Amino acid sequence: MAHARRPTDHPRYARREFLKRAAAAGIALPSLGAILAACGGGAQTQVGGGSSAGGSAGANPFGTGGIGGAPYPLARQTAPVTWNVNPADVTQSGQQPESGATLKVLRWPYYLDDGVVKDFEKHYNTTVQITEFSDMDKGLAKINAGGDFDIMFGMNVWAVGRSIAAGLLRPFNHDYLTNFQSNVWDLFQSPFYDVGANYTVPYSVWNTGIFWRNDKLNIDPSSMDNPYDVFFVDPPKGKTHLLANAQDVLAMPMFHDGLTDVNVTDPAVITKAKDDITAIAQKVGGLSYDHVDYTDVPDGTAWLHQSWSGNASDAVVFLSNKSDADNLSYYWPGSGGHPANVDNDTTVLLKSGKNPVLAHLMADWVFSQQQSLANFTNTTGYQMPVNSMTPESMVSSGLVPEHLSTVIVSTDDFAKGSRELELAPDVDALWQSAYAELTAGV
Amino acid sequence: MSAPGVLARTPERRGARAWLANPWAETRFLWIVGIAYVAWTLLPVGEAVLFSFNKGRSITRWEGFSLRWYVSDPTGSVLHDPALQHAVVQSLKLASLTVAVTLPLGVAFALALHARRGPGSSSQNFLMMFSFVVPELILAVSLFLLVLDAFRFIGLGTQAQLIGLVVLALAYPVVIVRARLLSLGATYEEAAADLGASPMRTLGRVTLPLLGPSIFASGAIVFAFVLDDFVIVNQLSKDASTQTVAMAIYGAARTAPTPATNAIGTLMLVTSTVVITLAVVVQRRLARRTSAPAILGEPELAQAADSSAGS
Amino acid sequence: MSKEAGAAATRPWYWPGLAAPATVFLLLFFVFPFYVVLAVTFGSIDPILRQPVPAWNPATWNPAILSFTLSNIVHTDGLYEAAFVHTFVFVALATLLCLLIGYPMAYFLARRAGRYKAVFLALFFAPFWISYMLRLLAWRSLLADDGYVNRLLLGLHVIGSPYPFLQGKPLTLVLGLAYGYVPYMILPLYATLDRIPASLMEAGRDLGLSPARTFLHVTLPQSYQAILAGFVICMLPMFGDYFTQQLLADRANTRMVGNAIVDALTQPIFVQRGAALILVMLVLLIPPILYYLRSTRRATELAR
Repeated sequence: MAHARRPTDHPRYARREFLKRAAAAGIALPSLGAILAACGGGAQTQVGGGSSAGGSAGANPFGTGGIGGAPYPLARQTAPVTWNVNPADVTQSGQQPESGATLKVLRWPYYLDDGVVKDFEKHYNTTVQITEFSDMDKGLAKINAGGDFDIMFGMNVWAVGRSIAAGLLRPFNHDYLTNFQSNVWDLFQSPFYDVGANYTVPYSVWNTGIFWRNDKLNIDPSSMDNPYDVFFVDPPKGKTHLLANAQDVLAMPMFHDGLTDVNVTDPAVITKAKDDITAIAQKVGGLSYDHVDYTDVPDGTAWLHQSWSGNASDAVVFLSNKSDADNLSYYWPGSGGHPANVDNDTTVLLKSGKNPVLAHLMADWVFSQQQSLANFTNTTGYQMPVNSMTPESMVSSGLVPEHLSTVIVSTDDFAKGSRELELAPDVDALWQSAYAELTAGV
Repeated sequence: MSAPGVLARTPERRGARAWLANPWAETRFLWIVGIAYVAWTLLPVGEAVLFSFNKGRSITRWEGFSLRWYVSDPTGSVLHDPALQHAVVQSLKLASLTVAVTLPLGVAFALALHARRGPGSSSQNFLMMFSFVVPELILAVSLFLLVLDAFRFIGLGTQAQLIGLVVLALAYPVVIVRARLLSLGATYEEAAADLGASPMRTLGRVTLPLLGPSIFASGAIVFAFVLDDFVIVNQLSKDASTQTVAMAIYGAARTAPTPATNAIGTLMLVTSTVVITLAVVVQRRLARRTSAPAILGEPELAQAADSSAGS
Repeated sequence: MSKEAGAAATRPWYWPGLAAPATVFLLLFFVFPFYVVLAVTFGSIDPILRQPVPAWNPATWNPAILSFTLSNIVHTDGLYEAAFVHTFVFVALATLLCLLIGYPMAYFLARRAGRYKAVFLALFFAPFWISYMLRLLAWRSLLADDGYVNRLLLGLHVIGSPYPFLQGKPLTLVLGLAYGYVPYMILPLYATLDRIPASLMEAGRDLGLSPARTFLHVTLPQSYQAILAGFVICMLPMFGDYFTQQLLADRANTRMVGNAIVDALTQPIFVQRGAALILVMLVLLIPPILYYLRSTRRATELAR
């Protein structure tokens, strides 16, 4: 979700250095990735039309499949959605990129490497204009307010359905997406939330886990029966932090209770989750909710933080003393078979944009071996679902320290993990209300 | 003071001995508290300004004097950080535009109200005063909803921020100019009319010049007041491109401030002080030059008017 | 013939027109937005983008959100009950503090500063043109764990370890609010106290009143009006304050109504609740606002 970041004094790796390392590690291992993808298939890999199993949606004007509750289908793994495409909206194949154009890009702060952008500008002889948004709702508002943006990097999956229903997105023509077809994980070639990848291609993948200072806390979630107990049993007073959004915060006690589907509609379950968090808050004398774990944990403001993997791996950069990297630990409960969150966000084309061909090409640009690695290494810190970046290669090239290795997401994890998906408006209001009560201290 | 025996006073001691002897005497007590109050109010500002010259990164630990955060730091200084510069520019831009809009609107309104002709003038007055007293958050939120749900073509951004600041500050020129009009009375305009000047001419050659100092003063006050505004500009801001210094300080203070934050604050402080000082100085000069006797060519009266002209 | 009547006789016809631009501006951007607040509060939410849809026609108004908000204010453990309680308590205490500090200062300025009056005038009212945000930044650095206040207290061995002033302490917040708005209290008090003729005070002394009783029986009664005006002028902006809480005491236990409002506005689903809270705040504050406007109008009329 939100990946707001602050400027760092320490550039991660100079581009030359990264290229050297990449060459040294022999990053390009497509065959290994393909094997992994084939193993990790299963429920995530839907090819062809969506089934209406588990859903009530039938003759919905926006698409088929999904479950009900909103004017448009809500996608679930058991109820994939195939979105309708108006052939008139599809960009014709084989066109040249627009000349003398300015491509208007929307992205989260520090969520797209400037070097990658410059290379694109040079290659296609064009200009790119970047606009930032710091909140998904604000991002949607920007699209809605006009301004003819062409492409958005980092639209959360839960925002895709409503964007399609509101007519904001332009469908993809896969003839332009060569890197996507060859390098992106199989499971995203036709994900459940967009069968056939009509409107989305993936951007980043991450998991949500436990991030802590092992020099301040003596815990080992990997050996616990219930790793989430680190939050419930003896959490550090005044030093426990959670993420700052409703779904991540309330899903955590649900995972603790063993639920694997946390897209809960039952008010009683939501209330119990909220009460669980309140109990933790009382134990620690007040919880903090923030997305700045990448500085909080290195500087000691937080000793225990619910975190996204990308932020945790980024934290190494924010250490004042590089040798302290050993003090940071991260564990994804999913790797031990416990219920846990894994997720991705997407890149989407915006209908209001004036440069559809360039937009297609840019969406595909970041999937090349070189650009995806540069993107991850230099700026985002978030892994991209490309076959050229495997867990083994990321550790062996030194991009991720060994003891933080569960920050790396594999295709396997998507079969094991739980997704946080789009909720119906009234259900969403329940979740947001509960979270508002938590932050209000009620 | 005349009744004998009622106020038997102890012989007064002068100077420091008097102070030490009875620090609780009313006047001395008030002086002590007065100075303490000034310290409480202004020393923090001094501290903030001081730390803008800190050599290190901290805003709590002093490490020596340096202009690092103003010019030398290659990424974080005001000179090298485009975001900080943009905030400064946005603040100055909004303040200037607000003055440019509020002065004509406000002065015209004050003139009309002073005339008190026509129906609805007291309700207009009420409206103006109401806008003056309403809490800023209410103004900010109602405008926020206006530009998002009614006047969508305006939307969030500099235009909306300007509109909000004008509503906020409009009452200042009105109040100041009206006060001046009241103290001037009708004599000068009556005299001009008697001498055959048309209303337009009176306005242009008598009234407005007489109001000059007050208009200038209210412009300065509006500028200094609006320069540091937070609630309205924050609520109506679009994104990083419409951030002002007040918003930048707020954002940095909540996350990780560096002395560069203090630096832009100091720059705005200096600007406000200069503007206010300029206003006081220029207003005194203008008052001397545009006092009615000076306009009507009576130098002796002009001298006499000097002492009473400072409004 | 009074000054006014004489003036009116020579007043040109177009004067009322001069008020039009400002009036139109205020109608469009001050009055109409209040109707938008009503329309949003009583409107609905678009189920696709979850954004508020205002209801322009009063016949279609839906009171659900307003009653939700009101019940959450009134009932214990309601979403907004704590925020309202905090606000009333903190604002009352801070305003009182403003009076306790402001009155002596206004008195000092009016009657005791002597030839330094202009200097003190400038110093006392400097906060009006000094950025409040800068002053709050200063306090954040002074009250930090390694800030000067803690260092002083540690040095004097008053405390053993740094005191977390900035972590949700109501005292810090009340002091902060008072700090910000004391000049607003001093202004009307100074204006009134300055105007009390010295002869009145001397008359009291001549009649045998001690300085203390002169104050109680002569000065204070004259300043009642100004005290009330000062109360209102201080209190009104405090009600809408949210950033002082965020910068000086950012924890749930000090949350104020302003915080509830801006938090609600960050979520499109909850914008209606924010609008409803604005409505409630406006209704609550209209009596003191009207009182203040009437008393100042009376005061200006008397002064003519």
